[in-house]
Amino acid sequence: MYTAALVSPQTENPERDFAPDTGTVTLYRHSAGKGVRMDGVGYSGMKITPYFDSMIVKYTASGATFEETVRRMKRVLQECRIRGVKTNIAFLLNTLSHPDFTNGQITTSFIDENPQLKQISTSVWDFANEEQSDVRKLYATERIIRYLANNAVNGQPSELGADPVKLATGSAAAPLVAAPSIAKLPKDVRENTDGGWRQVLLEKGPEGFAKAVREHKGLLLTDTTWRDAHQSLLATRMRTQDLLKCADYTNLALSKAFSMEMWG
Amino acid sequence: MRFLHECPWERLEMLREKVPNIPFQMLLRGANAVGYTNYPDNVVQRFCKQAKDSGVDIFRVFDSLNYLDNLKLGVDAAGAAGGVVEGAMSYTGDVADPSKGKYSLDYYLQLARDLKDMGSEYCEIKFR
Repeated sequence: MYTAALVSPQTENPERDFAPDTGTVTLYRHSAGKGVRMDGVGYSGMKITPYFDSMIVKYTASGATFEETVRRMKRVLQECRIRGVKTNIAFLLNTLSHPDFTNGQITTSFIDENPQLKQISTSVWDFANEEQSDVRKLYATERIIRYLANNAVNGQPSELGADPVKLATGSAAAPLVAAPSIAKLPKDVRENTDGGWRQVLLEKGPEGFAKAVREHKGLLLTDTTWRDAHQSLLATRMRTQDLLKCADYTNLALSKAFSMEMWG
Repeated sequence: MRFLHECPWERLEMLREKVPNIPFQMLLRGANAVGYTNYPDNVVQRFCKQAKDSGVDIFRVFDSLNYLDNLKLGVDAAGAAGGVVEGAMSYTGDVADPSKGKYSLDYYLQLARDLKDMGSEYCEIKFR
């Protein structure tokens, strides 16, 4: 036997009898994995208007048993992130968590008989992740990010007692936020070095370079920061201009290094 | 370059200009160059030449299976381009464990000799 289930996350408010909700989808991200299919039309930044169907995506989950399918679908709904507009996702999770539903003993009047399924602003689920088990905690990260973004653009809210002028100029007796220190570079960093190992390579060629390395008594270091920065950690998303800004500092700080692995 | 829509060669050249004192080093997967599939030999050769011209000094050449023919292509291409060739051995075993069969100390010593004979300036052990 094989079972499958399909749900349609829609931009609508179950607490207002599924009235469509409009606005901008600020985040549109989905779960995936074995037995999961996603068909959607949305994207981050999508404007939801009242003129079209409020369904923006469909999730299909399948499994060997009904329990497995339901468990999979719950994970998909728990892990997806559709933000900026009200959705029926909490309602869908409530439904999938209801014992009558998981027992397969429901009729077409199931939703009418269980109006509490639609109470999405107080929903609680039995998930391993505590942060995701209570709908009131779900948006904590977004709220913090919005708060920080608002502070960055508009300054500290004066109603909380902060004086943005003092924070900005550091004229308070003890500044609340210490400014990060930025190393001062000498006017011409290149005068401060003997040309480094690259000079040896340029003068002596690969063979002479290898010989000089073998004769060197100390330990030689290879730095991989740039490789990690623009190849791995940020997955080729670090821009050249950002690397260039730190290049002088890097050349100075690592002037005695054997090499920088920064490519490949 | 994926995502950024920048030219990888120009990026290398600009960074080279700003960092004159430190050798730039890259990892070359033998016949796979910097990808996860094998490329035609002349692509690897031209790639190494362009990389060297744009600023790469040291080519760390390895093959995930220590397969000599694949290594040789990378070592030759990097050497012909004028780069410093660092032959790398992929080491996943434990030479202290006799039950590892083929992958004994002798295996790695022989691999190091092969890399040297191929033309690698020095050898590296790449732990994986």
